[in-house]
Amino acid sequence: MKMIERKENEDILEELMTVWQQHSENIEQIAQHHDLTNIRLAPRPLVFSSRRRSVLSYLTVTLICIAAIAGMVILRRQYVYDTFDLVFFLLLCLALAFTAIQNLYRIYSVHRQYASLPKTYFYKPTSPLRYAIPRATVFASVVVLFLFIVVPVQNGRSMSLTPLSQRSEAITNVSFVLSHIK
Amino acid sequence: MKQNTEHIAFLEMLRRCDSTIFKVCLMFTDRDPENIKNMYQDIVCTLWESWPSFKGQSKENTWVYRVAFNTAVSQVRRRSISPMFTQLDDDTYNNLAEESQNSIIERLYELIDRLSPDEKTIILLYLDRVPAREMGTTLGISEAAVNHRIERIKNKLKYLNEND
Repeated sequence: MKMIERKENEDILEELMTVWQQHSENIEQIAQHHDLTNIRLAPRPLVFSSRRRSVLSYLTVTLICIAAIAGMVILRRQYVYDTFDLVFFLLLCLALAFTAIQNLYRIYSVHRQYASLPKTYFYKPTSPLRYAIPRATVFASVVVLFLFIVVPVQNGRSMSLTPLSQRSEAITNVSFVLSHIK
Repeated sequence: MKQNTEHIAFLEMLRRCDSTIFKVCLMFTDRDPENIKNMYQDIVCTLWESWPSFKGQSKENTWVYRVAFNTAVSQVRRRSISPMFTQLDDDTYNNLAEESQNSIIERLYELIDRLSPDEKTIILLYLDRVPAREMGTTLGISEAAVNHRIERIKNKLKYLNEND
């Protein structure tokens, strides 16, 4: 049964190949008469490849995200006054960190050795980076959390200046709110 | 001087691989002369952009296929035209459109049009009698994966042919 099916499949492809053979020869004849002398190619310095364009845009987004995170960490004492602010800021930082990492991965993808679209199509889901990205995001958010809570701010209303008991209470509140968001 | 040499080398390559680009254009468009022309221009521009990175490690035709497939599939996705760098004669595109209007060839394209973009890339290489190993190099997959996909496409084509 399998053999018959295979034979039938071969037949249809043989038929297509015969038609294509003739068609291909005709295309080659047309190509021979194609006048290429009129083609004007852009001078090399003006050719700004799509790869470079992509890298530039991804890099810009990454830098903006990193700058925003840095700005938020530096200016936190002016904005973070209660647990709600803290949760909001942390979520924002998390989103920014995720975007930054995602764009860094895209830059890597552009420079991959076989960064072709068929490769993307048939891309194997075994890349270690697929696992590394979520872990890196979690790590980045923990670092941000650490900076918010532990690093002292001069003359500020930082939680690092508050007593330890209040700090732990604030962290418990954050965990409580986060568990309810889920 | 270097610019001139580069231009000449590129145009010589283009002359050798022109029919390959036309085949990709016909496969990924609706065979309208204007659309063939737009896709041809897009492919030539991308080839010119990537030309310095071609080190001759793979066959010239394999490289052209790879770049042409990438450009064609991404153009099909975004449905827009990139800025034109080239000035081309319309006769060639009209001839190509006429060539594909033959009833048997129309039937061939009717079947192929119903395949997905990645299946189209494989069937084009298969119809051009490119060996499975070279197809794997072009598409960045293993020879076994190529053979598996060819078998799947054959089944699909058979099904499409019978159910029309």
